[in-house]
Amino acid sequence: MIIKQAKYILGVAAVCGFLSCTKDLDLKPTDSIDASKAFTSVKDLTDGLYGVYSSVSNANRIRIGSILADETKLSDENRGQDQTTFRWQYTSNNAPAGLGQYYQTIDRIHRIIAAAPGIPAANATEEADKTRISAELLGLRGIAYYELLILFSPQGYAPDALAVPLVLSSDLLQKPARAKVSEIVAQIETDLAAARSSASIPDAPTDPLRLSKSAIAAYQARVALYKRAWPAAITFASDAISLSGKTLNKATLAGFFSDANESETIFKYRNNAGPSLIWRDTNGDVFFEPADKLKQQFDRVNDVRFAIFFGAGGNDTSIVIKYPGSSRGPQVNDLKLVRLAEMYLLRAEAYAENNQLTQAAADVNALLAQRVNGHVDVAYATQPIAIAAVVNERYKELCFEGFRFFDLKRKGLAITRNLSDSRNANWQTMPANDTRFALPIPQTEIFANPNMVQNTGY
Amino acid sequence: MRKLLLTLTAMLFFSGMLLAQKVITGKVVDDKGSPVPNASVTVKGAASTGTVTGIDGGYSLTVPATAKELEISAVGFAPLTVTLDDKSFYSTTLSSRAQDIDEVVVTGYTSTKRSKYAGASTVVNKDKINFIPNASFDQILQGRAPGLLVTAGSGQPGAAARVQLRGQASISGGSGPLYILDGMPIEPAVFQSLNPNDFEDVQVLRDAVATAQYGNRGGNGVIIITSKKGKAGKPQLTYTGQVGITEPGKQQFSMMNTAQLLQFQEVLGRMGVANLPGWQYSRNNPAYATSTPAQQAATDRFRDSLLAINTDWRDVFLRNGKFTSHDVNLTGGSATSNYFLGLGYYDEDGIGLRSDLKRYTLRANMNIKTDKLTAQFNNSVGYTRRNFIESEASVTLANPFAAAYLGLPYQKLFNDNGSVSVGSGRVGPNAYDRIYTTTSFNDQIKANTAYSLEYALTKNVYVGGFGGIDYRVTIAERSIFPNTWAANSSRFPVGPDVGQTTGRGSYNNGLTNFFQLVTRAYAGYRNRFNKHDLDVKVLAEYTREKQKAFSYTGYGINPKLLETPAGMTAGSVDNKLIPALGGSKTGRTLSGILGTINYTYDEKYTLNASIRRDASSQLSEDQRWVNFYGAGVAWNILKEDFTTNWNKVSDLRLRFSYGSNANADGFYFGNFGYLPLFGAGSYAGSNPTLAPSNAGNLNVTWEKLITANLGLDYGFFRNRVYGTLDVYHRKTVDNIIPQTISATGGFGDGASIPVNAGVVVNKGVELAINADIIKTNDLLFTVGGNIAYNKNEVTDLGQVAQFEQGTELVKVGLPLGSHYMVRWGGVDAATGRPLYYTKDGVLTNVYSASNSVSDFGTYNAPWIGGFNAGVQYKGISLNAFFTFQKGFSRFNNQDYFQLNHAFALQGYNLRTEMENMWKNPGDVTDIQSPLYAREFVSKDIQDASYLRFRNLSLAYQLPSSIIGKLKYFAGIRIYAQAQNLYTWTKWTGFDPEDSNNIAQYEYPLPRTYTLGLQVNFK
Repeated sequence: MIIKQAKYILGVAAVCGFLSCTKDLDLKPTDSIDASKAFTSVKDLTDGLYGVYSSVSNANRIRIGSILADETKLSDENRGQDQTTFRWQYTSNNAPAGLGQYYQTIDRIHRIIAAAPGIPAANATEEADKTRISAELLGLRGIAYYELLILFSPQGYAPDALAVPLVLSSDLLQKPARAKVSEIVAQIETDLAAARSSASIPDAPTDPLRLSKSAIAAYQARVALYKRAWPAAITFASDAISLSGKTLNKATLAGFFSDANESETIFKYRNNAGPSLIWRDTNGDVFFEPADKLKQQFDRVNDVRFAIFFGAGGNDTSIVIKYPGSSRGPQVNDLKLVRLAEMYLLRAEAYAENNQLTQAAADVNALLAQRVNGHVDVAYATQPIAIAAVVNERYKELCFEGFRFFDLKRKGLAITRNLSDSRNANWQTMPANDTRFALPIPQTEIFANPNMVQNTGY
Repeated sequence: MRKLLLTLTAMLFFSGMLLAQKVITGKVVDDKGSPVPNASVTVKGAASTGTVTGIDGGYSLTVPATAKELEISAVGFAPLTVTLDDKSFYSTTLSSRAQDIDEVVVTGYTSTKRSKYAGASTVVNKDKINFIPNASFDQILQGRAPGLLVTAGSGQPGAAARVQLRGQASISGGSGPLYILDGMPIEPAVFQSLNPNDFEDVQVLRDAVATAQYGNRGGNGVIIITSKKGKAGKPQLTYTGQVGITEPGKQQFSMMNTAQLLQFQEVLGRMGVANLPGWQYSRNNPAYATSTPAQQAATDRFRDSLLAINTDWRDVFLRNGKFTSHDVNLTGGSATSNYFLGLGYYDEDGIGLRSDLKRYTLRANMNIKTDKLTAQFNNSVGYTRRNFIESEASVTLANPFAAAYLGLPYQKLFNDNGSVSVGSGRVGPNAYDRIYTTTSFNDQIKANTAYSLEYALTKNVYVGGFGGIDYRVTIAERSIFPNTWAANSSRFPVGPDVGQTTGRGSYNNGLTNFFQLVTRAYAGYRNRFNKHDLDVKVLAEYTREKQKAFSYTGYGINPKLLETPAGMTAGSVDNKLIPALGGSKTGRTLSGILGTINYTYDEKYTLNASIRRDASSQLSEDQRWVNFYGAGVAWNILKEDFTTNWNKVSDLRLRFSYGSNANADGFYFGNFGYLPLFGAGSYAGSNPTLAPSNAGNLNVTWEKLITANLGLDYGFFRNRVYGTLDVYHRKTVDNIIPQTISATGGFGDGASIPVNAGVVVNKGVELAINADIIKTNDLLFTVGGNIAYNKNEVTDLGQVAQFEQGTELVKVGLPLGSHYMVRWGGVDAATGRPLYYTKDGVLTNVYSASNSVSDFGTYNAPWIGGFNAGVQYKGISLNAFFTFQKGFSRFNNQDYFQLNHAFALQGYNLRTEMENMWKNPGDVTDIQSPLYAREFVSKDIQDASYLRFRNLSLAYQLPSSIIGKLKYFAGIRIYAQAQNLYTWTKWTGFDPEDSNNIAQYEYPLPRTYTLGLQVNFK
């Protein structure tokens, strides 16, 4: 009898206790969004698109582009910051660049692309938004692959050389192998062309935080340059220039770098996280000074860029001030992803390579007229002179914007520093075709992905 | 006479009413013959019939004639059963110390006599917990229970320790035990607001039968705290107070003084490494010879003025602090209910300037017990204020314990005008100035309630319930006063105001909120029939935990309104003083159902078993449910017939247990890390963003622990020698570890997802022994101790053989916490160049991190323990207690910094050993030439083994001959104690004890001397 009673009581206690609890076990986070419920409206797609834009900072390319090349000089105040990078002593354990940033961009794009078809547009405006978002996402995927392409392949970018894995859908656990340069280039061209053909993307960069046809044309021009497809590069650069609706202007140049105006901006990244730590610390320590070699290229008296790029107190020019800060803080500036001057120089290089020396000189003169007081037009006697001159103008105009190392790599040139800049003959010169031009794949990726092949020399 | 008559009449009257009653009188004394007041005297089997002894130890009790035995118990004494015969007066001697042979083991869900328990558990009694001058009770447990590792990471008053039972069981997850206070799980590592003086005892549950009942939270052991209860009898008021001082302990390193440092700088100068003051102002500098006489005089003057200053920065930043505590307790009760009220005040100054803790605690406990009903109401609330040093345990110049090493001896603390001589490169003065121009403290309120109720439906069937809340709110405040050195050198790393509020000061306020609710309902059946003793129970448990955080930081502080939100400047686009805001919310739900059975046959054979089905919201729906079980058997050998002649053996029990559980409190990915998640943010100011924030893994499931334990309880010579011996094997399977995924998965380079892989085994042996060496009426000399050895090993890692985790290598065959570093090869005497070993043992002068090896041991000590010795003579008692850890090593970052010429170049002081630096070819030394970079190598791994004189106490209890004459006092005890008296170690630095694998200028433990007084009022 007692046993019977006990059973009954135990049963009631157990059932009551249990029922009251189990439903609460389906607890969902309040501070994050369950992935399955992330995209439910066109507004969410727009937010997702900005999530993609927020990931395309070129800050690391700016760092690599200058510190690996001959743009910087090791400062007395450098206590080891980025020195292995500067000395070309990087290994797969301290790789200068990872795969993570742009595959994150690509993954974000793929997740929105996958979600978009299931989200109905409520009205014509939303329909237009959806169309534009889809086009921008393709353009951004092309851009992300472009940024990945230039990092890990050997100097010269031969079509059959290994590039990066080609991934076209979101998959957390995938372990893809590396594709060839030609395959990545083809994908970039397809994506950029598809984006540019969309009627919903504006021609001009009225909102330079988002893609315009001018910006897409600029990336098409860059890819053509890597492919050594000179006429295409000329066409795309011309498109970028004309679609932008902008003109070169000496008067607005200083304000352009301090974000006071957008006179040359075609596409930009809003750098909001904090001071640029590439050359300077928050406490004012200077880790890398502008290279003596770079400063020697300028006409200090007449070239207005000299005082805009290099400065400090008095006559000291040992600090990079191309990112002087803005209303958002000292050293905090928008990062220019594409700007007008680069397109002029890109077209000049393509003309020179295409042996159209007059047109090449014309583009360089158009730029320098807006840079140098009392500029006297130049003319090029031979193609090698023209090419060398344009590359040198890129060195000057685009310093600390993430181009120099990649220009030398693209053109098959050696890196040669002044001894006063390297301070040690051991890291003064990196010969052409050195394996270190192809940056190492991070070791974490080699461990995680058995199909990943490391570059030679690491 | 009249009184006697009345009594007789009453007795007659009552005996007429209830024929079978008699009056028993008696006296209870301790080993020394002193009366024991407040001892509880009850009739066995009828707890409601009882009384307490008076001040003289005497009692009088009317009992039913059928009563066979009396149970007599008192705080601090082993309970005793007295068999009643024809006598009416009984003289009883209680043993002065609780023997742990037949104590009650409270396991949270059940309580049972130790003789009917198959689990491995240790009770730490209140005399080892109460009135120890340490604000965090976990630190008090160090060395008190076998297998329990307690290492404090900080001497900051109130800091919690790292606590680990039977080794590190999880590769990536938490290894801390579950804490239960009066049946209620409490937040781990937040003990600053709990008053250990209110604790009756602490039980440490170690094996599976003990912890399996806790299912998904018991995997790393359970620490059960029971707070004090009242005693039946008239109200008793007790006051206990302590005063004392805290002071820095021994420092096992010497820093250079001014003369030594200048001499060293001269060496660096001569070698062409640096032009520091010791070289600039040296007569040996070639520049000196070519200077003009006036210049030479100036150089000499400057050098002399530096030599005139000799600041020892340790003296500046360390201090002797004050210690005060007051406790007032009121207890009392009747046969059916009792109460305990406790008021506590605790005030400890840290040995680092500015650091202290003040605590106010209240406790109200009530217990009700009738034939049918058992109820307990435990309530406590505590408030603490802790002031912190700057940047504790971080390698920053603001940390005073770093500045104590780094500060230059030839810099003065004060300018001639009395102001602090702050400035660039002035490490000591800057750190000192910060102490007074910034604040950092927290206010914490913690409330605990635990209510339980049990009702006997019939003689055998009972039902019960439990409800408890653990609530804590901490408000952390931080100010940087405007226009100070600290403000001028601070930039604000958040918000649109980055780097722009220099000098304007800031005020930060951060609130964190912890709430945990636990409810239980249960029903059970218990019966004793013939030789069987059976208790079966089914229980359902529900746990809800919620955490919230909110913080804000305002800028532009009004110098007249410091340390208050009122002093902040309202932010605007123009002034850029826009406050930073942040916050978060999270939580979890746990649910479980438990069945237990406790069965004993003939007092000989015991079976304890439990099965539990558990779930947590921290895993996906398909993975969250899990079953655990535990079973133990015990054999009371002395109850066997063949032992009747074993006269010298007084206790002998063999135990074996086996079972499984898990640790839901230790998931490295928190509450929602298993879920693929998106995060919302913003881009370029006004554009909301939506992007994946967590990869998650819906397939990740429970990391489980499986423990086998074989134990022996022993006692010899009437328990003059007694203790326990346990051997265990503890296996953690399906370890949850982060597995790196390809960057093409979209979460960045080196991103990982939680997966189940890997097995860790802890096996070891634990011995506890206590002996009464001398035991006479007047003199008692006891020794005791415990020692535990644990072998930890990773036996499987799934698809990989090893992976790095910081400076540790996790590798199959190695213990967790194994250091991973390049082996130091000494200094090349010819060139002064540092040498290293490659992986293959070849000497090289090239440093490469890829040559790291893992031959340097682990920071988890395999040998731990504690031992004590005590003498009692009449009312005087003297006790000494030691703790030790052996066989482990830690990185000494302080060695890397202070035995490194590069730090001299950066303007910091070095240790005196640097005088042995290589200077000339042929110098044989272990300190390399300053021409080469100093790397972090194996010589920076040091043996951190230590033996610590943890506590010495001397107490005197006034004899009853004196107390009896006093009007107000029923007892007076005076005592003195010293904490952390001395440490024996090879470690160089402030303190070998730490909660992690690396020394980084941690706050060392203080030495504390206190004087105490305990008074019982009549």
